[in-house]
Amino acid sequence: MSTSSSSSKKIVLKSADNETFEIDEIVALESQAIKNMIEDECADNVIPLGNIDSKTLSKIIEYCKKHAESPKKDDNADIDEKAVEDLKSFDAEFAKVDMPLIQDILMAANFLNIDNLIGLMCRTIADRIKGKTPEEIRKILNINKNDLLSPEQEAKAREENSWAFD
Amino acid sequence: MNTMDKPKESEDSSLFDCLPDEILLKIVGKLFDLKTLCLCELVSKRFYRNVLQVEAISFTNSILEDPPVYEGNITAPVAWLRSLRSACLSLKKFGRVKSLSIRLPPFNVDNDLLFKWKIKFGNKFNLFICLSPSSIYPNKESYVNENGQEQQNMEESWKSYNIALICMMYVWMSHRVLRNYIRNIPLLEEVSITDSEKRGRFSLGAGKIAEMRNCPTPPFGKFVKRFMVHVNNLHWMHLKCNYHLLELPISGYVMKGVSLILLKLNDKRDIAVNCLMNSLDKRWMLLDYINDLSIMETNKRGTISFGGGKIPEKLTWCNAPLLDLPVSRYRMKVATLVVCGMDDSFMSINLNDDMVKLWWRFSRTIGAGGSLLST
Repeated sequence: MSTSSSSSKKIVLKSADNETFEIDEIVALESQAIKNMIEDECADNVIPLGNIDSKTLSKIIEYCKKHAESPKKDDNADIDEKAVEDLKSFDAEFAKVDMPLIQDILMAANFLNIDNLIGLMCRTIADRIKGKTPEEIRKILNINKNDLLSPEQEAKAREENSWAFD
Repeated sequence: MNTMDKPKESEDSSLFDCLPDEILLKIVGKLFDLKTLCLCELVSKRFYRNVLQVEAISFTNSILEDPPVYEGNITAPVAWLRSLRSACLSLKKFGRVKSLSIRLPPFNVDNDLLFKWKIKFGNKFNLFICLSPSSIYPNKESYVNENGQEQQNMEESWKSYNIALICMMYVWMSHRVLRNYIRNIPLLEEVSITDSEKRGRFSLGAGKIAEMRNCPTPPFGKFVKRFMVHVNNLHWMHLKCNYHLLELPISGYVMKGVSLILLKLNDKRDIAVNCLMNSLDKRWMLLDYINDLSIMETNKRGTISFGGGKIPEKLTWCNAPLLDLPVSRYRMKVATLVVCGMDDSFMSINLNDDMVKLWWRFSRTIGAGGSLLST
Protein backbone atom coordinates (compact mmCIF):
# COMPACT_ATOMS: atom_id res chain seq x y z
CA MET A 1 0.00 0.00 0.00
CA SER A 2 1.55 3.25 -1.07
CA THR A 3 0.82 6.21 1.10
CA SER A 4 2.93 9.01 -0.22
CA SER A 5 4.68 10.01 -3.38
CA SER A 6 7.26 12.26 -1.80
CA SER A 7 10.88 11.45 -2.24
CA SER A 8 11.61 10.93 1.46
CA LYS A 9 12.85 7.66 2.80
CA LYS A 10 10.29 4.90 3.06
CA ILE A 11 9.76 2.24 5.66
CA VAL A 12 7.65 -0.83 5.11
CA LEU A 13 5.71 -2.37 7.97
CA LYS A 14 4.31 -5.85 7.72
CA SER A 15 1.33 -6.86 9.80
CA ALA A 16 0.62 -10.26 11.37
CA ASP A 17 -1.67 -11.11 8.49
CA ASN A 18 1.11 -10.28 6.02
CA GLU A 19 -0.23 -7.02 4.73
CA THR A 20 2.47 -4.46 4.00
CA PHE A 21 2.27 -0.74 4.63
CA GLU A 22 4.76 1.62 3.05
CA ILE A 23 5.09 4.81 5.02
CA ASP A 24 7.41 7.80 5.20
CA GLU A 25 10.20 7.32 7.65
CA ILE A 26 9.11 10.44 9.50
CA VAL A 27 5.77 8.80 10.21
CA ALA A 28 7.44 5.64 11.47
CA LEU A 29 9.62 7.72 13.79
CA GLU A 30 6.57 8.49 15.91
CA SER A 31 7.21 5.03 17.29
CA GLN A 32 10.09 5.15 19.72
CA ALA A 33 10.68 1.43 19.20
CA ILE A 34 11.04 1.80 15.41
CA LYS A 35 13.12 4.92 15.88
CA ASN A 36 15.54 2.97 18.06
CA MET A 37 15.74 0.21 15.50
CA ILE A 38 16.48 2.66 12.71
CA GLU A 39 19.07 4.48 14.78
CA ASP A 40 20.72 1.20 15.70
CA GLU A 41 20.63 0.32 12.03
CA CYS A 42 19.01 -2.97 12.75
CA ALA A 43 15.95 -2.30 10.67
CA ASP A 44 15.66 -3.93 7.28
CA ASN A 45 13.56 -2.32 4.66
CA VAL A 46 10.65 -4.35 5.88
CA ILE A 47 9.82 -4.42 9.57
CA PRO A 48 7.65 -7.39 10.51
CA LEU A 49 5.14 -6.77 13.27
CA GLY A 50 4.06 -10.29 13.98
CA ASN A 51 1.69 -9.35 16.76
CA ILE A 52 -0.26 -6.53 15.17
CA ASP A 53 -3.04 -7.24 12.73
CA SER A 54 -3.64 -5.08 9.68
CA LYS A 55 -6.77 -3.43 11.05
CA THR A 56 -4.94 -2.23 14.14
CA LEU A 57 -1.83 -1.32 12.21
CA SER A 58 -3.70 0.84 9.72
CA LYS A 59 -5.32 2.72 12.60
CA ILE A 60 -1.93 3.27 14.16
CA ILE A 61 -0.46 4.52 10.91
CA GLU A 62 -3.40 6.90 10.54
CA TYR A 63 -2.59 8.29 13.97
CA CYS A 64 1.14 8.56 13.40
CA LYS A 65 0.69 10.29 10.04
CA LYS A 66 -1.54 12.95 11.51
CA HIS A 67 0.77 13.53 14.44
CA ALA A 68 3.91 13.54 12.28
CA GLU A 69 2.34 16.22 10.06
CA SER A 70 1.35 18.45 12.95
CA PRO A 71 3.85 20.94 14.30
CA LYS A 72 5.51 19.72 17.45
CA LYS A 73 5.08 21.71 20.61
CA ASP A 74 8.77 22.03 21.36
CA ASP A 75 9.61 23.11 17.81
CA ASN A 76 7.95 26.40 18.16
CA ALA A 77 6.68 28.07 21.28
CA ASP A 78 3.85 29.85 19.54
CA ILE A 79 2.39 27.21 17.29
CA ASP A 80 -0.95 28.34 16.11
CA GLU A 81 -3.92 27.35 18.18
CA LYS A 82 -5.79 26.07 15.20
CA ALA A 83 -3.30 23.27 14.69
CA VAL A 84 -3.65 22.30 18.35
CA GLU A 85 -7.43 22.33 18.12
CA ASP A 86 -7.29 20.36 14.91
CA LEU A 87 -5.14 17.68 16.49
CA LYS A 88 -7.43 17.54 19.50
CA SER A 89 -10.51 16.94 17.40
CA PHE A 90 -8.61 14.37 15.37
CA ASP A 91 -7.74 12.53 18.58
CA ALA A 92 -11.33 12.68 19.77
CA GLU A 93 -12.59 11.22 16.48
CA PHE A 94 -9.82 8.65 16.42
CA ALA A 95 -10.83 7.32 19.82
CA LYS A 96 -14.42 6.67 18.77
CA VAL A 97 -13.95 2.94 18.24
CA ASP A 98 -15.11 -0.13 20.10
CA MET A 99 -13.39 -1.38 23.22
CA PRO A 100 -11.65 -4.45 21.68
CA LEU A 101 -10.02 -2.24 19.04
CA ILE A 102 -9.00 0.30 21.67
CA GLN A 103 -7.31 -2.47 23.60
CA ASP A 104 -5.64 -3.80 20.46
CA ILE A 105 -4.36 -0.33 19.65
CA LEU A 106 -3.21 0.18 23.22
CA MET A 107 -1.35 -3.10 23.25
CA ALA A 108 0.32 -2.35 19.91
CA ALA A 109 1.10 1.26 20.88
CA ASN A 110 2.71 -0.02 24.04
CA PHE A 111 4.77 -2.46 21.99
CA LEU A 112 5.76 0.19 19.46
CA ASN A 113 6.26 2.70 22.24
CA ILE A 114 4.15 5.56 20.93
CA ASP A 115 3.73 7.67 24.01
CA ASN A 116 0.95 10.03 22.89
CA LEU A 117 -1.13 7.20 21.57
CA ILE A 118 -0.76 5.23 24.79
CA GLY A 119 -1.91 8.32 26.68
CA LEU A 120 -4.88 8.84 24.38
CA MET A 121 -6.04 5.24 24.65
CA CYS A 122 -5.63 5.20 28.44
CA ARG A 123 -7.65 8.39 28.70
CA THR A 124 -10.33 6.91 26.48
CA ILE A 125 -10.63 3.81 28.63
CA ALA A 126 -10.63 5.93 31.79
CA ASP A 127 -13.46 8.06 30.39
CA ARG A 128 -15.48 4.98 29.58
CA ILE A 129 -15.26 3.48 33.05
CA LYS A 130 -15.92 6.72 34.92
CA GLY A 131 -19.15 6.65 36.85
CA LYS A 132 -19.68 2.93 36.24
CA THR A 133 -20.24 0.23 38.84
CA PRO A 134 -17.54 -2.43 39.31
CA GLU A 135 -19.83 -4.95 37.60
CA GLU A 136 -20.26 -2.68 34.58
CA ILE A 137 -16.52 -2.08 34.39
CA ARG A 138 -15.84 -5.83 34.38
CA LYS A 139 -18.23 -6.18 31.49
CA ILE A 140 -16.82 -3.25 29.52
CA LEU A 141 -13.26 -4.51 29.84
CA ASN A 142 -14.08 -8.22 29.84
CA ILE A 143 -12.16 -8.80 33.04
CA ASN A 144 -10.97 -12.31 33.80
CA LYS A 145 -13.32 -13.85 36.33
CA ASN A 146 -10.47 -15.66 38.04
CA ASP A 147 -9.09 -12.35 39.16
CA LEU A 148 -12.11 -11.13 41.12
CA LEU A 149 -11.66 -10.18 44.75
CA SER A 150 -12.73 -12.87 47.16
CA PRO A 151 -16.00 -12.13 48.98
CA GLU A 152 -13.99 -11.37 52.12
CA GLN A 153 -11.65 -8.99 50.30
CA GLU A 154 -14.56 -7.26 48.64
CA ALA A 155 -16.43 -6.87 51.92
CA LYS A 156 -13.32 -5.40 53.50
CA ALA A 157 -12.77 -2.93 50.67
CA ARG A 158 -16.41 -1.91 50.75
CA GLU A 159 -16.23 -1.34 54.45
CA GLU A 160 -13.12 0.81 54.11
CA ASN A 161 -14.91 2.90 51.54
CA SER A 162 -18.33 2.88 53.15
CA TRP A 163 -18.16 6.62 53.71
CA ALA A 164 -18.01 7.13 49.95
CA PHE A 165 -20.80 4.72 49.07
CA ASP A 166 -23.29 6.02 51.67
CA MET B 1 12.42 -7.41 17.62
CA ASN B 2 10.63 -9.16 20.43
CA THR B 3 7.53 -11.00 19.72
CA MET B 4 4.36 -10.49 21.64
CA ASP B 5 1.85 -13.27 21.68
CA LYS B 6 -1.54 -12.21 20.68
CA PRO B 7 -3.83 -13.49 23.43
CA LYS B 8 -6.36 -16.10 22.56
CA GLU B 9 -9.88 -14.93 23.05
CA SER B 10 -11.47 -17.23 25.56
CA GLU B 11 -13.69 -17.03 28.58
CA ASP B 12 -10.83 -17.05 31.03
CA SER B 13 -8.47 -14.69 29.40
CA SER B 14 -9.38 -11.36 27.90
CA LEU B 15 -7.30 -8.94 25.96
CA PHE B 16 -7.43 -6.57 28.88
CA ASP B 17 -5.69 -9.07 31.14
CA CYS B 18 -2.76 -9.06 28.75
CA LEU B 19 -2.12 -5.37 29.15
CA PRO B 20 0.80 -4.89 31.50
CA ASP B 21 0.21 -3.44 34.98
CA GLU B 22 2.10 -0.37 33.92
CA ILE B 23 -0.66 0.40 31.41
CA LEU B 24 -3.45 -0.33 33.87
CA LEU B 25 -1.79 2.07 36.27
CA LYS B 26 -1.79 4.72 33.54
CA ILE B 27 -5.50 4.15 32.99
CA VAL B 28 -6.52 4.40 36.64
CA GLY B 29 -4.07 7.28 36.98
CA LYS B 30 -6.34 9.29 34.73
CA LEU B 31 -9.41 8.86 36.90
CA PHE B 32 -8.37 11.27 39.71
CA ASP B 33 -11.74 11.37 41.40
CA LEU B 34 -11.53 9.55 44.74
CA LYS B 35 -14.98 8.03 44.55
CA THR B 36 -14.36 6.64 41.07
CA LEU B 37 -11.09 5.16 42.30
CA CYS B 38 -12.82 3.55 45.27
CA LEU B 39 -15.30 1.90 42.91
CA CYS B 40 -12.53 0.69 40.62
CA GLU B 41 -10.82 -1.00 43.54
CA LEU B 42 -13.66 -3.52 43.55
CA VAL B 43 -13.32 -4.52 39.91
CA SER B 44 -10.60 -7.11 40.33
CA LYS B 45 -7.49 -7.97 42.32
CA ARG B 46 -5.33 -6.36 39.66
CA PHE B 47 -7.41 -3.20 39.73
CA TYR B 48 -7.25 -3.16 43.50
CA ARG B 49 -3.45 -3.33 43.48
CA ASN B 50 -3.06 -0.69 40.82
CA VAL B 51 -5.64 1.76 42.09
CA LEU B 52 -3.73 2.00 45.35
CA GLN B 53 -0.63 3.13 43.43
CA VAL B 54 -2.10 6.27 41.86
CA GLU B 55 -0.20 9.52 42.32
CA ALA B 56 -2.90 12.13 41.78
CA ILE B 57 -6.25 12.26 43.50
CA SER B 58 -8.97 14.85 43.50
CA PHE B 59 -11.88 15.39 45.83
CA THR B 60 -14.55 16.58 43.50
CA ASN B 61 -18.17 17.16 44.23
CA SER B 62 -18.97 13.50 43.86
CA ILE B 63 -16.99 12.66 46.95
CA LEU B 64 -17.70 15.66 49.07
CA GLU B 65 -21.41 15.96 49.57
CA ASP B 66 -22.65 19.37 48.65
CA PRO B 67 -23.68 20.97 51.88
CA PRO B 68 -27.16 22.38 52.20
CA VAL B 69 -27.50 25.97 51.07
CA TYR B 70 -25.57 28.27 53.32
CA GLU B 71 -28.01 30.03 55.58
CA GLY B 72 -25.92 32.14 57.81
CA ASN B 73 -24.76 29.54 60.31
CA ILE B 74 -21.94 27.10 60.14
CA THR B 75 -23.92 23.86 60.14
CA ALA B 76 -23.45 23.46 56.40
CA PRO B 77 -19.71 24.12 56.37
CA VAL B 78 -19.20 21.77 59.30
CA ALA B 79 -21.10 18.98 57.53
CA TRP B 80 -18.84 19.49 54.55
CA LEU B 81 -15.84 19.53 56.83
CA ARG B 82 -16.75 16.07 58.11
CA SER B 83 -16.96 14.57 54.62
CA LEU B 84 -13.65 16.17 53.77
CA ARG B 85 -12.15 14.57 56.84
CA SER B 86 -13.43 11.11 55.87
CA ALA B 87 -11.96 11.57 52.42
CA CYS B 88 -8.59 12.57 53.90
CA LEU B 89 -8.61 9.62 56.26
CA SER B 90 -9.11 7.24 53.38
CA LEU B 91 -5.98 8.55 51.70
CA LYS B 92 -3.99 6.51 54.17
CA LYS B 93 -4.20 3.41 52.00
CA PHE B 94 -3.05 5.28 48.90
CA GLY B 95 0.64 5.30 49.70
CA ARG B 96 1.92 7.15 46.66
CA VAL B 97 -0.24 10.22 46.32
CA LYS B 98 1.86 13.19 45.26
CA SER B 99 -0.79 15.56 44.10
CA LEU B 100 -4.10 16.35 45.68
CA SER B 101 -6.76 18.72 44.51
CA ILE B 102 -9.81 19.77 46.46
CA ARG B 103 -12.86 21.32 44.90
CA LEU B 104 -14.91 23.58 47.13
CA PRO B 105 -18.68 23.29 47.10
CA PRO B 106 -20.58 25.77 44.94
CA PHE B 107 -21.29 29.07 46.64
CA ASN B 108 -24.81 29.23 45.23
CA VAL B 109 -24.40 32.70 43.89
CA ASP B 110 -25.50 34.22 40.63
CA ASN B 111 -23.16 33.25 37.89
CA ASP B 112 -22.77 36.81 36.81
CA LEU B 113 -21.46 37.98 40.15
CA LEU B 114 -17.93 39.14 39.60
CA PHE B 115 -15.83 37.80 42.33
CA LYS B 116 -12.22 36.76 42.76
CA TRP B 117 -10.56 35.54 45.89
CA LYS B 118 -7.14 34.86 47.27
CA ILE B 119 -6.01 33.47 50.60
CA LYS B 120 -2.76 33.38 52.51
CA PHE B 121 -1.67 31.00 55.19
CA GLY B 122 1.35 31.01 57.38
CA ASN B 123 1.15 28.10 59.74
CA LYS B 124 -2.33 29.31 60.44
CA PHE B 125 -4.92 31.19 58.53
CA ASN B 126 -3.45 34.54 57.76
CA LEU B 127 -5.36 36.70 55.35
CA PHE B 128 -8.23 36.40 52.96
CA ILE B 129 -8.83 38.93 50.25
CA CYS B 130 -11.56 39.12 47.74
CA LEU B 131 -12.40 41.60 45.07
CA SER B 132 -15.81 42.08 43.63
CA PRO B 133 -16.79 44.88 41.31
CA SER B 134 -20.50 45.39 40.85
CA SER B 135 -20.07 45.69 37.12
CA ILE B 136 -17.51 45.82 34.37
CA TYR B 137 -17.59 47.92 31.21
CA PRO B 138 -15.56 47.04 28.16
CA ASN B 139 -14.13 50.55 28.02
CA LYS B 140 -14.40 53.91 29.59
CA GLU B 141 -16.71 55.30 26.93
CA SER B 142 -19.32 52.67 27.54
CA TYR B 143 -19.04 53.37 31.22
CA VAL B 144 -19.65 57.05 30.62
CA ASN B 145 -22.51 56.28 28.25
CA GLU B 146 -24.29 54.00 30.62
CA ASN B 147 -23.16 56.28 33.32
CA GLY B 148 -24.12 54.12 36.20
CA GLN B 149 -23.66 56.80 38.77
CA GLU B 150 -25.71 54.91 41.32
CA GLN B 151 -23.77 53.86 44.32
CA GLN B 152 -23.00 50.30 45.04
CA ASN B 153 -25.81 49.54 47.42
CA MET B 154 -25.55 47.86 50.75
CA GLU B 155 -27.23 44.74 49.45
CA GLU B 156 -24.52 44.13 46.84
CA SER B 157 -21.83 44.98 49.24
CA TRP B 158 -23.28 42.54 51.70
CA LYS B 159 -23.59 39.83 49.09
CA SER B 160 -19.90 40.03 48.25
CA TYR B 161 -19.04 39.96 51.89
CA ASN B 162 -21.19 36.94 52.54
CA ILE B 163 -19.59 34.98 49.73
CA ALA B 164 -16.17 36.03 50.87
CA LEU B 165 -16.93 34.63 54.28
CA ILE B 166 -18.22 31.29 52.98
CA CYS B 167 -15.33 30.92 50.61
CA MET B 168 -12.82 31.76 53.28
CA MET B 169 -14.37 29.23 55.67
CA TYR B 170 -14.19 26.41 53.13
CA VAL B 171 -10.60 27.05 52.18
CA TRP B 172 -9.59 27.46 55.77
CA MET B 173 -11.27 24.20 56.71
CA SER B 174 -9.61 22.35 53.84
CA HIS B 175 -6.25 23.69 54.89
CA ARG B 176 -6.85 22.71 58.48
CA VAL B 177 -8.03 19.19 57.66
CA LEU B 178 -5.01 18.74 55.47
CA ARG B 179 -2.74 19.80 58.30
CA ASN B 180 -4.31 17.18 60.52
CA TYR B 181 -4.04 14.30 58.11
CA ILE B 182 -0.96 15.14 56.13
CA ARG B 183 0.92 12.34 57.85
CA ASN B 184 -1.34 9.93 56.00
CA ILE B 185 0.05 11.17 52.72
CA PRO B 186 3.82 10.81 53.07
CA LEU B 187 4.76 11.62 49.46
CA LEU B 188 2.44 14.57 48.97
CA GLU B 189 4.15 17.43 47.18
CA GLU B 190 1.40 19.45 45.57
CA VAL B 191 -2.00 20.62 46.76
CA SER B 192 -4.51 22.77 45.01
CA ILE B 193 -7.79 24.05 46.38
CA THR B 194 -10.21 25.78 44.08
CA ASP B 195 -13.92 26.58 43.97
CA SER B 196 -16.21 25.05 41.40
CA GLU B 197 -16.18 28.17 39.24
CA LYS B 198 -12.46 28.78 39.56
CA ARG B 199 -12.88 32.24 41.02
CA GLY B 200 -9.74 31.69 42.98
CA ARG B 201 -7.17 29.06 43.79
CA PHE B 202 -4.95 28.20 46.68
CA SER B 203 -1.97 25.97 46.15
CA LEU B 204 0.79 24.52 48.23
CA GLY B 205 4.11 23.39 46.87
CA ALA B 206 6.60 20.91 48.27
CA GLY B 207 8.27 23.47 50.55
CA LYS B 208 5.07 24.60 52.23
CA ILE B 209 3.93 21.02 52.61
CA ALA B 210 7.17 20.12 54.36
CA GLU B 211 6.64 23.02 56.76
CA MET B 212 3.12 21.84 57.37
CA ARG B 213 4.35 18.38 58.29
CA ASN B 214 6.70 19.76 60.90
CA CYS B 215 4.11 21.97 62.47
CA PRO B 216 2.36 20.54 65.53
CA THR B 217 -1.37 20.38 65.09
CA PRO B 218 -3.99 20.41 67.82
CA PRO B 219 -6.60 17.65 67.60
CA PHE B 220 -9.25 17.99 64.98
CA GLY B 221 -12.23 17.88 67.36
CA LYS B 222 -10.91 20.91 69.15
CA PHE B 223 -10.71 22.81 65.90
CA VAL B 224 -14.34 22.11 65.03
CA LYS B 225 -15.45 23.22 68.48
CA ARG B 226 -13.42 26.36 68.30
CA PHE B 227 -14.20 27.16 64.71
CA MET B 228 -16.99 29.55 65.65
CA VAL B 229 -14.67 31.34 68.00
CA HIS B 230 -12.09 31.62 65.26
CA VAL B 231 -14.62 33.04 62.87
CA ASN B 232 -15.74 35.50 65.51
CA ASN B 233 -12.18 36.62 65.90
CA LEU B 234 -11.84 37.57 62.30
CA HIS B 235 -11.02 41.10 61.60
CA TRP B 236 -12.75 42.38 58.71
CA MET B 237 -11.75 45.21 56.56
CA HIS B 238 -13.82 46.38 53.73
CA LEU B 239 -12.51 48.81 51.23
CA LYS B 240 -15.55 50.24 49.66
CA CYS B 241 -14.89 52.33 46.65
CA ASN B 242 -17.88 54.48 46.02
CA TYR B 243 -16.25 56.46 43.26
CA HIS B 244 -14.84 53.15 42.44
CA LEU B 245 -13.27 53.30 39.06
CA LEU B 246 -10.69 50.68 38.36
CA GLU B 247 -9.38 51.07 34.85
CA LEU B 248 -7.62 48.05 33.52
CA PRO B 249 -4.72 49.23 31.42
CA ILE B 250 -4.39 46.47 28.87
CA SER B 251 -7.92 45.37 28.21
CA GLY B 252 -9.25 48.87 28.79
CA TYR B 253 -12.09 47.49 30.88
CA VAL B 254 -13.52 49.65 33.58
CA MET B 255 -14.58 48.03 36.81
CA LYS B 256 -17.14 49.74 38.86
CA GLY B 257 -18.36 49.50 42.42
CA VAL B 258 -15.36 47.54 43.54
CA SER B 259 -15.58 45.82 46.88
CA LEU B 260 -12.34 44.73 48.32
CA ILE B 261 -12.74 42.63 51.41
CA LEU B 262 -9.98 41.54 53.70
CA LEU B 263 -10.42 39.00 56.45
CA LYS B 264 -7.72 38.53 59.02
CA LEU B 265 -7.55 36.41 62.12
CA ASN B 266 -7.13 38.09 65.46
CA ASP B 267 -3.81 37.58 67.04
CA LYS B 268 -4.24 38.19 70.74
CA ARG B 269 -0.76 39.58 71.13
CA ASP B 270 -1.42 42.37 68.72
CA ILE B 271 -3.97 44.94 69.30
CA ALA B 272 -6.51 44.97 66.60
CA VAL B 273 -5.36 48.15 64.98
CA ASN B 274 -1.76 47.18 64.60
CA CYS B 275 -2.80 43.96 63.11
CA LEU B 276 -4.73 45.73 60.41
CA MET B 277 -2.37 48.60 59.96
CA ASN B 278 0.36 46.09 59.36
CA SER B 279 -1.43 44.82 56.37
CA LEU B 280 -1.83 48.39 55.24
CA ASP B 281 1.84 49.00 55.74
CA LYS B 282 2.43 46.27 53.31
CA ARG B 283 0.24 48.18 51.00
CA TRP B 284 2.11 47.40 47.90
CA MET B 285 1.44 43.80 48.70
CA LEU B 286 -2.18 44.63 49.09
CA LEU B 287 -2.19 46.44 45.81
CA ASP B 288 -0.34 43.62 44.25
CA TYR B 289 -3.32 41.55 45.24
CA ILE B 290 -5.55 44.04 43.56
CA ASN B 291 -3.54 43.73 40.40
CA ASP B 292 -3.55 40.04 40.66
CA LEU B 293 -7.18 39.63 41.47
CA SER B 294 -8.55 42.14 39.07
CA ILE B 295 -7.17 41.02 35.77
CA MET B 296 -3.85 39.34 36.07
CA GLU B 297 -2.55 41.47 33.26
CA THR B 298 0.56 42.26 35.18
CA ASN B 299 2.48 40.30 37.73
CA LYS B 300 5.18 42.83 38.30
CA ARG B 301 5.49 44.62 41.56
CA GLY B 302 6.47 48.18 42.17
CA THR B 303 6.40 50.77 44.85
CA ILE B 304 3.12 52.41 45.54
CA SER B 305 2.48 56.01 46.29
CA PHE B 306 -0.62 57.09 48.06
CA GLY B 307 -1.60 60.18 46.16
CA GLY B 308 -3.85 61.32 48.94
CA GLY B 309 -0.97 61.50 51.35
CA LYS B 310 0.50 58.96 53.66
CA ILE B 311 -2.02 57.09 55.70
CA PRO B 312 -1.48 58.18 59.30
CA GLU B 313 -0.53 55.41 61.57
CA LYS B 314 -3.57 55.33 63.75
CA LEU B 315 -6.20 56.46 61.42
CA THR B 316 -8.95 53.97 60.95
CA TRP B 317 -11.03 55.85 58.53
CA CYS B 318 -9.95 58.20 55.86
CA ASN B 319 -11.42 59.97 52.89
CA ALA B 320 -10.61 59.69 49.26
CA PRO B 321 -6.98 58.71 49.05
CA LEU B 322 -5.84 58.17 45.53
CA LEU B 323 -4.04 54.95 44.88
CA ASP B 324 -1.80 55.04 41.85
CA LEU B 325 -0.50 51.69 40.84
CA PRO B 326 2.77 52.36 39.07
CA VAL B 327 3.14 49.23 37.05
CA SER B 328 -0.36 48.76 35.81
CA ARG B 329 -1.04 52.49 36.04
CA TYR B 330 -4.42 51.86 37.59
CA ARG B 331 -5.78 54.69 39.53
CA MET B 332 -8.07 53.76 42.37
CA LYS B 333 -10.02 56.46 43.95
CA VAL B 334 -11.09 55.17 47.28
CA ALA B 335 -13.89 57.16 48.72
CA THR B 336 -14.01 55.53 52.07
CA LEU B 337 -11.41 53.39 53.60
CA VAL B 338 -12.80 51.73 56.67
CA VAL B 339 -10.80 49.72 59.07
CA CYS B 340 -12.65 48.03 61.84
CA GLY B 341 -11.41 45.98 64.69
CA MET B 342 -12.84 44.16 67.64
CA ASP B 343 -11.44 46.80 69.89
CA ASP B 344 -14.14 48.88 71.57
CA SER B 345 -12.55 52.22 70.88
CA PHE B 346 -12.47 51.41 67.23
CA MET B 347 -16.02 50.36 67.19
CA SER B 348 -17.02 53.71 68.52
CA ILE B 349 -15.07 55.55 65.87
CA ASN B 350 -16.38 53.49 63.07
CA LEU B 351 -20.02 53.33 63.81
CA ASN B 352 -21.47 55.35 61.07
CA ASP B 353 -24.73 54.22 59.52
CA ASP B 354 -23.26 51.92 56.95
CA MET B 355 -21.04 50.30 59.46
CA VAL B 356 -23.90 49.58 61.78
CA LYS B 357 -25.73 47.78 59.05
CA LEU B 358 -22.66 45.82 58.02
CA TRP B 359 -21.78 44.86 61.51
CA TRP B 360 -25.28 43.72 62.10
CA ARG B 361 -25.20 41.51 59.02
CA PHE B 362 -21.77 40.29 59.89
CA SER B 363 -22.80 39.30 63.40
CA ARG B 364 -25.87 37.55 62.11
CA THR B 365 -23.89 35.51 59.62
CA ILE B 366 -21.47 34.19 62.07
CA GLY B 367 -24.23 33.48 64.52
CA ALA B 368 -22.88 35.76 67.15
CA GLY B 369 -26.18 37.52 67.65
CA GLY B 370 -26.01 41.10 68.68
CA SER B 371 -23.07 40.74 70.96
CA LEU B 372 -20.74 42.63 68.66
CA LEU B 373 -23.07 45.54 68.56
CA SER B 374 -23.64 45.77 72.25
CA THR B 375 -20.34 47.53 72.80
